[in-house]
Amino acid sequence: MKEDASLILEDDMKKKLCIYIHIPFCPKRCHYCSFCSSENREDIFSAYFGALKGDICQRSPEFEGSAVTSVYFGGGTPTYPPAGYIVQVIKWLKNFFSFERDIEISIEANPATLTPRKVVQYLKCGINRFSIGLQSSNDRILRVVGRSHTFEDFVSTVELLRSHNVKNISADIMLGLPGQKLRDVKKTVGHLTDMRIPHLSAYGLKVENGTRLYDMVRGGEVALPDDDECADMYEYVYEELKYNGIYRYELSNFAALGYECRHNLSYWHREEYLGFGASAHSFVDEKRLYNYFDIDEYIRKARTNAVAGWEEVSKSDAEYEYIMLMLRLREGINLKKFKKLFGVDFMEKYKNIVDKLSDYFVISPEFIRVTDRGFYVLNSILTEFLN
Amino acid sequence: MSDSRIRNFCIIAHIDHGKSTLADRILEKTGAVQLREMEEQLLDSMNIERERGITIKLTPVSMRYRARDGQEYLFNLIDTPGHVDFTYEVSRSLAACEGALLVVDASQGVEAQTLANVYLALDNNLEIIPVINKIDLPTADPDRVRCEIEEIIGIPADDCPLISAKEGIGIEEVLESIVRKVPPPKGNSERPLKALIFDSQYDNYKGAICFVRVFDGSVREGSRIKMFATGKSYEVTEVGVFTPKMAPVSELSAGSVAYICASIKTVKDTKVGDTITDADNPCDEALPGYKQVQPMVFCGIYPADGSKYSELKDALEKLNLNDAALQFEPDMSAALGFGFRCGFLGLLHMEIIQERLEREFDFDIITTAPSVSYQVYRTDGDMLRIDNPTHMPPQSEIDRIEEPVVRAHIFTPPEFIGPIMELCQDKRGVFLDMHYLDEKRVQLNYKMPLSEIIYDFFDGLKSRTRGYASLDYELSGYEESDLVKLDILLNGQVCDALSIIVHREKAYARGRSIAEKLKVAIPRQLFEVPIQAAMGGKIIARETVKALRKDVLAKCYGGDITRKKKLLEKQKEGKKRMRQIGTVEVPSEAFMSILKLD
Repeated sequence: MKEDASLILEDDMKKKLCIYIHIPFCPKRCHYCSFCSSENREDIFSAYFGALKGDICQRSPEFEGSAVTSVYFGGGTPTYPPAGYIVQVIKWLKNFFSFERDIEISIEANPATLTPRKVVQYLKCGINRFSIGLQSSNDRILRVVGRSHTFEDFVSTVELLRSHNVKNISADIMLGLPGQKLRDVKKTVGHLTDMRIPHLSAYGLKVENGTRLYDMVRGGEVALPDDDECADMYEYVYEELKYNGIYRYELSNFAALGYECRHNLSYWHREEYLGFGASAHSFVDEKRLYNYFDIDEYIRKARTNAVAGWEEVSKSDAEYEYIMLMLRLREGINLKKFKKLFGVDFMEKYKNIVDKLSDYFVISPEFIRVTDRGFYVLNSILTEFLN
Repeated sequence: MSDSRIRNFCIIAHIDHGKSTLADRILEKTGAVQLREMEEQLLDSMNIERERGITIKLTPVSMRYRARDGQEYLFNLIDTPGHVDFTYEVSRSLAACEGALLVVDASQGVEAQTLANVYLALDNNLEIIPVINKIDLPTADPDRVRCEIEEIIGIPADDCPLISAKEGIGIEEVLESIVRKVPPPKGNSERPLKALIFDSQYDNYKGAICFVRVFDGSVREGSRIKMFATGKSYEVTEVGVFTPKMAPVSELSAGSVAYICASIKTVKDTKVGDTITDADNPCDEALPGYKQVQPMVFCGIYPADGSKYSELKDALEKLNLNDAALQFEPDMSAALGFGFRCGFLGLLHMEIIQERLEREFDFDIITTAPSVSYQVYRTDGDMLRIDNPTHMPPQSEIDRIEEPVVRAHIFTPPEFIGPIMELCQDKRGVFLDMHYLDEKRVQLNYKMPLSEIIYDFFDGLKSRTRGYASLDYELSGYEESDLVKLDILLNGQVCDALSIIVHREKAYARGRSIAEKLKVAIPRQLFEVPIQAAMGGKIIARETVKALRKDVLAKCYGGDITRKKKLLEKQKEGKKRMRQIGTVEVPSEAFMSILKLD
């Protein structure tokens, strides 16, 4: 098993940070999207990035000198605005922070938004990981959920990246899409393993109130696979990727050894991160902060303070968060570390739950983690730990 | 007004024959209420009564009527319930009257409840005035109905008023008949006070209010009165009549139907059927009163939120203030925690109480399957009365079980005899006899276990006869029967709140049906949940709720851990509302789902 990253980090003296940058722009919004994104708003690119600069300049000095281990451009579609904006953001960040030598800089990309010119610019400013939203290799499904690309676009995007020698490529796929069958998932996964994509995220679709898809489902326009079908899909993804040497390191994330997403892991490890941009979240000094969700409001407020609200995480909440986050990981909870962090013996404190759910836990003297069967019902397990 | 111009009467009828509408018209005609105050079913003051078109409470009202003879008469009308569950309430109002209007639907004719009510009225020596209603309907056949009244009931109907309460036709006829036929009260205002409490009501300001019929003597504000049953004395604070709103008057004399307030703390001190007399100058003996009503149907009522036990208790006590027939005592279930075992007059009464708890008190409740009261004879000779399946002794200790049996009278058009017989047979009914009332109406008499009547019988009867059949029944005793306790096991553990007592032959079908319903109502959990129905130690049905396979949160969007935590907390809240049966989490709806009939 890979060594616990957070344990290594502890020995280092310098404050470590991850940085998240939100780019809320898309050429077209997907029907299931409830995130902070806007459709076709090229008119406010410069206003937004100006605000983003203000946000970074206003909140960074406090953490000046911290060593950044990862930067993540999420969206939206960060590859939609001209690459020059992204290049600048990295420049601004470097004014305040020192970037670790082996820093991971990821950018989410949608197929058909990357051009050779953009790729060159991204690579030049240090971006070294591309996460491509594929969702499905079935073009019909892509159309139904309002994706503005085809599977072929994905293939060309990967080829483009590889022609520039990019290895660290991730593909996002979704399970439980309208009309999706297990055989669709098999095909999608088959393509990805054939293409030797070293990192995969497989997220279950959640139909949120207020989205276009929500109305489509309610209106009977589309039908969703049931929970059993979704579980079959998930299990297939897990088994098939494992067979291909791509391991589940987190509930929804799968990677060949060495390709785990550091930024992603930092969330689950309860490491500190700063989020810039509309709706971005930060976690510093046991406080969870969130920025204004509305893009226009963010633009208005970012120069003075982009933070719309925050919450102090209490000691008991921290413990619960830790359990909630660490059980998502293959590594599970390190019992020694748990005791060091919270001053209690996990196995003693939660004996009743562990006994009751013994079928769902793998226990060793060093760690406790959930079984394969436990991953996809993790919520039910986690609620047991809430009192 | 002299006693000779007082008329005390009630209206009796089968349900839906237009009793409350006739009452409305009488009120209008006598000017007791102005048209602008008029609402339909004026005397049915509870929303539930108006919505269901039924009368539950007795509502008295006083009116003045100037008759054709030029004299003004005082009418005291007491509206009565028409449903079989509330026969007891009917008998209470009858005891306060000298006459009864018997309303019969001109197309439906004499129905089961018509007859039952007539017998009650005859028992009370009332003058019965038949009234044929709904003559405006195209299907009306007043001549046939007149014959039915004469032949089946045996009272002359040649000059009975033909009316349409809905259209206001013939109402004056009815009023004149009352003047002519209902005898005036025979009381004597000079004698010591003797008044019958026929109902009572709780008022936050006035305390328990007695609804009374004064037979002898008089009473006024400041009088000192005494209750025969409790021996307690009170000073009268207010007397009055119903217009139908309560209107104070200076004095009540013999013959009045009225109310008395005397700062009485609880309705328990105003026992329905008790006699009120003068504390200083009491009468020699009490009026006959009524026999104590016995609940026929029982069920457990629990708060859906286990912590709300004391609120539920308050709510039941409040309902009890105006509904003395409701009985309840604290009960404890392993599955549902603290709650109450409640006794009701019948199924409708039970439904009404449940609905009132939910609507008037905004209470989420869980109820268990309705049960009757069984007589269980143990091998040691002891007899236990069991109305809660949980308290059933082990089979090895039971010598025999007897169940309450009723005589059911079903009135129907002849074309439905076949389906009704089939239904009765299916419900373990024993055919007694059948006779044609005329060529269009048949009366079928069956002996039937009460437990079968309260389980789906009425609905079955209505659906098989397109609503044409009517039912009445009275308890006829207890009979031995091959009864067993059916337990439901969730993951191997008996859930006491789901146990029922059934006839052995029905156990398999009921067990299967309950297991199937629970399978749908219990959400998937981390473990597979076997649902078993067991009789004695034997499993007779099994279903399985498959183990949960998907319960995850999607993408952690932009590091929003707080949202994840909140979603889990919400899920946890949902779980907390469920009942824990061993390792199985059971939502309240699951308990209710088994009560829904197929």
